[in-house]
Amino acid sequence: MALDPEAFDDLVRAHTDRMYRVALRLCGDPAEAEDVVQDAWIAAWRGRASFRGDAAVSTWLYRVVTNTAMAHLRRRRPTVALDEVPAGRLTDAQPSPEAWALLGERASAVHRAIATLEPSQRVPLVLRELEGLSYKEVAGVLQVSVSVLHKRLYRARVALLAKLEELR
Amino acid sequence: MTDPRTDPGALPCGRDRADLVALAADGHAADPALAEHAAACPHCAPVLAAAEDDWARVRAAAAVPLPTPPGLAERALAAVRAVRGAGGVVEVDQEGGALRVSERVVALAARAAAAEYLADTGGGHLRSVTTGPGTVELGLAVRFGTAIDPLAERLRAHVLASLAPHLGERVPVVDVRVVDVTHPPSG
Repeated sequence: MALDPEAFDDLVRAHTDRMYRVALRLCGDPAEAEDVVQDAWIAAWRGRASFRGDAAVSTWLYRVVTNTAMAHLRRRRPTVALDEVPAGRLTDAQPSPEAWALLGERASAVHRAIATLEPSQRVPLVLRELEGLSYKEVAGVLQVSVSVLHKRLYRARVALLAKLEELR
Repeated sequence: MTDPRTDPGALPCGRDRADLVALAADGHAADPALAEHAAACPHCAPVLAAAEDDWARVRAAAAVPLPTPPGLAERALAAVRAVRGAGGVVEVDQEGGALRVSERVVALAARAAAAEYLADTGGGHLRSVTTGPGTVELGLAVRFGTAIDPLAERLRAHVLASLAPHLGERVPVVDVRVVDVTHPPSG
């Protein structure tokens, strides 16, 4: 697959929604998620030579956006204390309050709980549980074996359950 | 008192809690034998039921659409084009020759410096970087309540200080344009 400028622009138009969704779920802040999306597309353009046409483009883009989001998360505090995550943080900045209202308290609590986890735990959780990727696909994004992914996911799931329990 | 959902270790029946958590997340079809056992096991059943209750919340969250901000794809395209466009060249005179720096490099360096400053201060978010002959324009979304003048001045100073070691006297003019405002978190 030749990623000339025109083909790349098509990718941007086709996949920005997905990139933003992942970035928002990982960062928990709409404005920061937009930062991540812009940086991720620039990184994808500059690293397009690393994209092999035999791999799914979505796998490559998931890798780019999760790596970019992780870099953003490392630049700020490594972990946000549970009581420091505002209840409305996921719903604060976008111009569609009706749509955001649909998030609901239960779903909002899940996102707030995820935002308190270690960044390395968020990625497998978001890709597997929220994006609905298969184990093989998530392992491909993270470039680990499926057995390693299972171990990481177990720890992440247990951590998420504990956070959800705190939020009850 | 311990929490049966998160305590490590095997259950008295010998089953692993990790497998029950995975069963709650992946569904009974992923491991029918374990599902059949858990349904009848007094140790596994409450652990699985609690995990499934919590995992229903995760599934609900996954099903909620997250709308993309209007125009984000176009802004992303503009960001990419700013660093890949043909662009000009900044020429720096040096002893014995000239150093030529592509405008796209200037754009990338300015973007990195601005993003670094904004991440540290939390006053706003970078929305665009455009370059022209001798100029860099930073488009900002500022956090509501942030004093714009001092933010712009400090940001400009930071970017200029970052570019100066590379470009010397040919450091560009750095303009700051506020293009959006983001609201502080509520709650």
